[in-house]
Amino acid sequence: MTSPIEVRETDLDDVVDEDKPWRVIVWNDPINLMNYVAFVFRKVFGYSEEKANRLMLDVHHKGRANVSSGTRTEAERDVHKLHGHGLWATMEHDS
Amino acid sequence: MPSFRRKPLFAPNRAGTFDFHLSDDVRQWLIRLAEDVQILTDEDTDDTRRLFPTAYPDDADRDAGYQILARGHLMDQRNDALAVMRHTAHNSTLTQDELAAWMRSVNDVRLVLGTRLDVGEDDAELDLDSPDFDERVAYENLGAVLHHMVDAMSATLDPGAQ
Repeated sequence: MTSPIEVRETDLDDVVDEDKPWRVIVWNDPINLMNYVAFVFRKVFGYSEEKANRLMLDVHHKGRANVSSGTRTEAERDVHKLHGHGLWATMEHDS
Repeated sequence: MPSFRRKPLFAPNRAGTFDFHLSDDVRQWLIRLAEDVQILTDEDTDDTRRLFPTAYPDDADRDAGYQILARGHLMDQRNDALAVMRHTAHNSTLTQDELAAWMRSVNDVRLVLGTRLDVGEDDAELDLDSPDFDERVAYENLGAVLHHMVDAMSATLDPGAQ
């Protein structure tokens, strides 16, 4: 005789939320040098000099820039790399 | 005719490494500052909060999980960088990885000092009468050294990548 299996209902909203791409945001701070921030974008993401400078200027003038996106795991990995270089990075996704 | 061009402190050379032109005094000063930061990090003071930023500002539970995993790794990276500084303190050249370690430590020191000084975007000129004058001078000098490091390291990257 088999035991009854308890079936837990999956909250589909949670699944959908996890599948949405996460965005990695770098925030402006008055300490990090502008050329250092651009260098980190090139080193961590392999971005061109032009793209790295554009993102750095977004950070400086707009206060933040979306520098990468992906799954939660990918975004967390990128945030961790940016933290290792001293940048103020966070991650977020659409609710 | 004399040239007023400043010699780069870190110059890429034909061997694929970097000539290391910092004076011994400055090298030792940078190492002492990095050691001070390591001590402050162990004590977990407010000055070091920029070294361990939040990943999930709107989710305390997830951020706590991130910090458990990330903090130890970031500490290890910083300890490794300091070990490289000590090991290469008397070198005439640095490899790319060694210069990256020096750069990481110098930036960490700036983050801690800048946090302590509450540096802002529009800070005024240095004030000779300020009680923070010495630390402000140190902060500015660290910025100058870091600028040279970034210039040298940037020269090794492909400008047209991605």
